[in-house]
Amino acid sequence: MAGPETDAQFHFTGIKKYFNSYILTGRMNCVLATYGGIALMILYFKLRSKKTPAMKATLTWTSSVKFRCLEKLMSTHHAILNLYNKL
Amino acid sequence: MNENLFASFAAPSMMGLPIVVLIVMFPSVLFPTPSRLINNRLISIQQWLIQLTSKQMLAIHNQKGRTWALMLMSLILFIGSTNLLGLLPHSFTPTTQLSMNLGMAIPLWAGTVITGFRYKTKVSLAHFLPQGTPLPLIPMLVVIETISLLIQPMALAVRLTANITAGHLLIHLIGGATLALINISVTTAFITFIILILLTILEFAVALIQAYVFTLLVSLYLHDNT
Repeated sequence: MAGPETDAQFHFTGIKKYFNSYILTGRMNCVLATYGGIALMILYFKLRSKKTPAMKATLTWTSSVKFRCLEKLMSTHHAILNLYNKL
Repeated sequence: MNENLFASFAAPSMMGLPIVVLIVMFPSVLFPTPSRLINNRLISIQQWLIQLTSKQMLAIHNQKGRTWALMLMSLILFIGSTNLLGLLPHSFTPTTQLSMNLGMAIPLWAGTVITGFRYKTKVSLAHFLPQGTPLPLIPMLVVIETISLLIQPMALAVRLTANITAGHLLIHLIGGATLALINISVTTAFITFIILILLTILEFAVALIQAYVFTLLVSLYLHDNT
C-alpha cells in the first residue's frame, strides 16, 4: 500500500508548476487565484456604470448650458401666457 | 398548553432580575478545587473521569494542540454538567439557547482557524482544494470548501441546541400525554409512562454524548489547524 504522497514525487513544468491540485504550493495558488477572480468580478460589477448610452446622452444634454437657457425661455413663455389668460 | 410547552425555554428572572448568569455559573460549584494530595471520594472520582477523558481526547494532538487541554476539558465538563442539570424537573437549561451555543462555537472555531492561518498559512490555504481535483472543477470546489468551513460553527451550535431542545420538548409532550391519559385509560397511560422512562434514559445519554461531540469536533478542527 502506498504511503502518504509527498510533493517531491510530482514534477511539473511551465504554468502547472505553480497552479496544480497536487502539491501544496500549487493548491494554495489555485485557491488564491479563485479568490482573486471572485474579488475582481465583484469589483467589476460594483464599478461598472448602471446608466445606458441613451440615458448618458440625455443626462449630458440636460446638464448642458443650451438646455438650461431653453428651460428658462420656456418657463418665461409659460408665465407670460398665464398672465395673459388671467387678464 | 402551547404557552406551557415553551415556557421552560424562556430566560428565567427573579423579581425582574435575570438569574441566567447564576444558572450558567452553578455547574462550577459541583466541581470543587482539589486542595489535598489525596482528596475525598467526590473529587477523586471527578479527577479520575477528567484524566480518562483528557487522555483519550488529547492523544491525537501534538505539543501545540495540547496547550488547549484546559479549554477542551472545561468545555466538555461545562456542557455535560449543564445538560444533565437541565434534566431536573422545572429547571432551565442554558444550552437550549442558540445565543449561548453560538457564543461558545464561534470563538472556539475562529480560534482554531486563526491558529491554523497564523502558523501554517500554506497548509491552511491548500486545505480548500482537495488533492487531485480535476482542473475544470477547481473553482467550484474551492467555493464549496470555503462554504463548508464557514458553516462549521453554525452546525456546532445548532446541533447542540436542536438536540437538547428537542429532547426537552419530547419529555414535556409525553409527560403531558401520560397525565392526560390517566383519566381516560390507565393501561395506555402506563405504556406512555414506560416510554417516558425510556426517553429520559435516552436524554441522559444524549446530554453526555452532545457534550462529547461538541468538544470532539472542536478538538478535530484544532487538530486540522495545528
